[in-house]
Amino acid sequence: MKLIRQGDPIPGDLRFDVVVVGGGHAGTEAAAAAARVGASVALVTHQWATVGEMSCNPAIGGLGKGHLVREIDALDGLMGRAIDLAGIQFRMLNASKGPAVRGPRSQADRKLYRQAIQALLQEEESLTVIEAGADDIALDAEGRVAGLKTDTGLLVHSGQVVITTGTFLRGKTFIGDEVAFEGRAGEAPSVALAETINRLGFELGRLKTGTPARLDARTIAWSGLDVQPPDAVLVPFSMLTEEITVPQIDCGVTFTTAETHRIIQENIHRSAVYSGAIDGVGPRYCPSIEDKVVRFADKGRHQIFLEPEGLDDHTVYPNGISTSLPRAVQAAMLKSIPGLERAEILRPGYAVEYDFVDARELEDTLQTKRVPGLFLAGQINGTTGYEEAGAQGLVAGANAALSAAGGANRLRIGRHEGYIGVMIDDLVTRGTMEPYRMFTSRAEFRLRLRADNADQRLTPLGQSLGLVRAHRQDVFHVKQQALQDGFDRFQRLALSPTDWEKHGFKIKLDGRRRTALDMLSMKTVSLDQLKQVFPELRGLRADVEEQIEITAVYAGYLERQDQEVLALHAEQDARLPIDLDYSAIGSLSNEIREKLERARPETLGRASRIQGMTPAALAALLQFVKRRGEDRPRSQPDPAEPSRQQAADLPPTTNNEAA
Amino acid sequence: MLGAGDTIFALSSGGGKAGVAVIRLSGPAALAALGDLTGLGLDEPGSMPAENAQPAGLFPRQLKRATLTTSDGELLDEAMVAAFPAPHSFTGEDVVEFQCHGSPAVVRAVLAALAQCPGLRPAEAGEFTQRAFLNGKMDLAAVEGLGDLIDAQTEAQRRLSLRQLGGALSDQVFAWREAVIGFRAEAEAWIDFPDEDLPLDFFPTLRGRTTALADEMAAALEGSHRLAAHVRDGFTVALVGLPNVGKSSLLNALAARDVAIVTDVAGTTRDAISVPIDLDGFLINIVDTAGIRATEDAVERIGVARARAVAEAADLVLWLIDERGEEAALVQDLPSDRLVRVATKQDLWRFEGFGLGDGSGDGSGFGFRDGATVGVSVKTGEGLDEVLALVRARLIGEQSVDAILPMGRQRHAAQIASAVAALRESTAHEELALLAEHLRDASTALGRITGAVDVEDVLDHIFSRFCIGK
Repeated sequence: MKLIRQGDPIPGDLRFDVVVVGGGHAGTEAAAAAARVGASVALVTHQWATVGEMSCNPAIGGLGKGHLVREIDALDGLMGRAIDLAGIQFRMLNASKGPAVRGPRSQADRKLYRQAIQALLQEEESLTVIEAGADDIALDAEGRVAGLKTDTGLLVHSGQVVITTGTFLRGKTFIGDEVAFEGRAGEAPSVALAETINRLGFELGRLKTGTPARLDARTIAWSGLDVQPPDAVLVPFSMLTEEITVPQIDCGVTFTTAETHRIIQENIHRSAVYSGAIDGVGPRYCPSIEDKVVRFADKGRHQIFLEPEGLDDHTVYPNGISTSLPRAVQAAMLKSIPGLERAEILRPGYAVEYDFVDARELEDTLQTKRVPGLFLAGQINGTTGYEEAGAQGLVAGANAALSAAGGANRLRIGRHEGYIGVMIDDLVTRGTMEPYRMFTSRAEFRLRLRADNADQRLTPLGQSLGLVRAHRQDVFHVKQQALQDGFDRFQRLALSPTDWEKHGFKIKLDGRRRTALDMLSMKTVSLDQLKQVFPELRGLRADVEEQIEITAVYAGYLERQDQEVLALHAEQDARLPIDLDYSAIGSLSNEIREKLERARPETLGRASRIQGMTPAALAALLQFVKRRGEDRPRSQPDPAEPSRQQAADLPPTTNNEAA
Repeated sequence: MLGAGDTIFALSSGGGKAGVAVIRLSGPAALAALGDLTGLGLDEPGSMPAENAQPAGLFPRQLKRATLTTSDGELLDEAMVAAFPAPHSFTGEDVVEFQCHGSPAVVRAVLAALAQCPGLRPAEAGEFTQRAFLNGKMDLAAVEGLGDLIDAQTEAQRRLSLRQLGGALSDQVFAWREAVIGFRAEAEAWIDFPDEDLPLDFFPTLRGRTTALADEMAAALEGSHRLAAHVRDGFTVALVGLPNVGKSSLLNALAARDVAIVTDVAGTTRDAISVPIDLDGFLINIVDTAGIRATEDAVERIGVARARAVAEAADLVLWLIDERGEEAALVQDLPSDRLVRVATKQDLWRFEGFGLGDGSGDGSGFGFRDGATVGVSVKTGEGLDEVLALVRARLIGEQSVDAILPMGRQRHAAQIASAVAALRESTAHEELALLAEHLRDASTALGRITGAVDVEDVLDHIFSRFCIGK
């Protein structure tokens, strides 16, 4: 990696395959993914030192989010490897609720995490980090991206620009009635870039999120509080990590009190959210403590996790009480909470409001439909969370690099292949009204999209696009062979019912031979039982055993879902041109037409997932697709070119016909 | 069918005799045809007619009296007319409606005049509905409801169809949908928010509540499905008895009793005559079987077997006897709740209880001890009301057509059944991921009737019910 600081001499013409703006979780994954694909990459960020910063809570993973990290890792991304080097409280959530809904999570040492990300980036030879702010996007005569102008006066030439500016687009922070124009406490917002995006005609909306006060750990009375310990066995995020060696810590747990609620109620009008100072929409799943007290007035207390921000950092993140109340009220409120009576505030909580782009402006490659060569990823698309941002960054960076390389290959992940696919499909099809966060309930193929099999789902795809480096390919290959060997052993062992019975297994005497895998799918048979009786089933890797067990338990469900996956493929193959003239299909109601024009779905399947879509409108679209299919030779359309040509193929329609 | 350029017309009310016949046109030439037949045109509401211009006479969606004439000036009918310009019409196209007098002759004449209008052709079956569907005017369920409405022969059928068309798809199905979404919200909250301080009281009862809902749905499905099928297809009442016992006379008398005979076309089967009558809104098909008796004759025995088959398939059997007595063999093993004995020709003899007649039987073999025997005379009219009352009591009882869920359609019934199965399956799992998977299946099945259940529906529930916010 090369670093160009402000004022450094510029080595001639700055020209790159891909330019990434922003050094957060989306930007770093984008830059690294583009570099892995083989592109020369510039990462433009204000300060190298804050690259990889966790600006909100110091944790990675959780339900849905942990799945995303595993998928990023499967595509050889950074996040899983970084958290394995920085995690200070590893927990596997939902361990008892079924393998499909297990979510790895870990608290992070913020400094270790930053260092891990920076170290991984430093290994990238084709990466140049330029310390500067982004000012404007340069376009060529045809409206394609030609490069990026920085606020230091540089013009960085590139046909692909990935914008990952998080909450910095016209960012504005609120502490009571104190308002500051900043994207993160103490850091300047991107105003010029927001104006550029505005000028290009993108649909913008405004969202808000918040963060709690940071506390001094040395002033918290820990002894009286409940603790939440790490797991006894630490399961890493990354397939490349063999063991977690970072020391582990406990988190504290406390609760708000009636007095806390009284203080909040009395001062509610001074909260930036309730005073009317903020227009942006906040997330319902991460409300401020003001929202919690108002909306759930009958709830006597609200839980707070006291999360240390690092091993040698005395900052504590009190998770669950984000607020935009005035400083003095924040202090009074904290004093009413057990354990925090003497806690000192290092930094007050604040709300941040920022611009985001309606993600329906995007193709599923995360390239904008409006400006070829411009990609958007992360919070700018209306999402929240490091994991959501990182996953989008990886997709945008990979596709920018693939686009720069020419050819039609792109990284597209289906809803049945990964949470990344679910998220991008949701975003580009439906946009979002509130900050979008991943939940496992969003995935209709949840039983197959598990954290344990992310590599099997996505590593081969990444490999085929040149996104996966040799080391991971080797590790994956070894695991696949071990899996194959394990499955072979379980399938080779096939016995008649009487033989199973002889070995002590209760079973229906129906004459059907059953394999060990069949047996394992029964509720009454456990892996340990089988291993005890048959030595040939022993000695497998733990992760292989786990996979075999899960596959056996879910076998029936997964087979049934295969049908749905086939249907999904059919829908995906029914592609709609993104410049389709919906007004030419006269049978669409105005409301539906507007929704379609806004989303410009790339496939019929995506059209069907637009909220409020009616069967009648789909029937009309289907008719259109079918008719178009008949007009066309039987070759597959190039998915990279959803083409004006196809729209031109439309049979002419008159108002009469359409009426 | 999209973009069909022609204009279709059809008699949209039933084919038989009626007070008013509705003839409907849809398509770009509909308004021109209105002008051809009535001389009326469409005025824009609120617009001032140009100077010297005569108002064209008709506002959109206004019902107006008009004289229908042929292009030769020959009077067709005095009718009420209305025009519904696109897109605010039933099909989304220009629609014109003529409400004519119901005489078949008038209807034939108007239809013939329309066929002469340029650009018009008779509609194919279901074509109006198809156009409405393709123009985004109806969802699939509404189209199916409409199919029933178009076929409606009786008041009950019409009401059942209207319940669907009104998007009612019944409040009950929507209530189930809400309940299932609520269950999903509980399960999903436990999955997606494990670190939250969720209330502990709801989850232990989830399985019990799921089972209770499945039971409720299954019971409603069972009862309603049966009744709704009867509403659509009618009940069958078989008249069975010896030759010349008076079956045809009774059939004719009952049919004449019905003030609202729904069709004057009597259907015939190979060996049975069926006449539909309307009984309090329910369609009753009365089937006359061939006369039968115990016989050695091989041919006649086939006839007996056939009549027996009709009796077995019928919802109710009227077993007719006269002074000759009874032919027990035919009906003796039919369940007594499907049998009513009718003593005919009471103007010639008196039925005075079992053991009378020619003394050949006391009726015990029939299980008739419940006294369900009515004496009738088609000559005097005696007993006919009682027969109808008994038929009504046996077939319909306290049921009202208003209690029927709109699940007469096989599609709806199948989806509800699969939702019930999924709910039951969910309670069999300890593993939360699998329990939730089956609840999702249940909501998907109900969503196929009511419109898809979106994950946002579930999330809305979660966030309004539980304070999530670590």
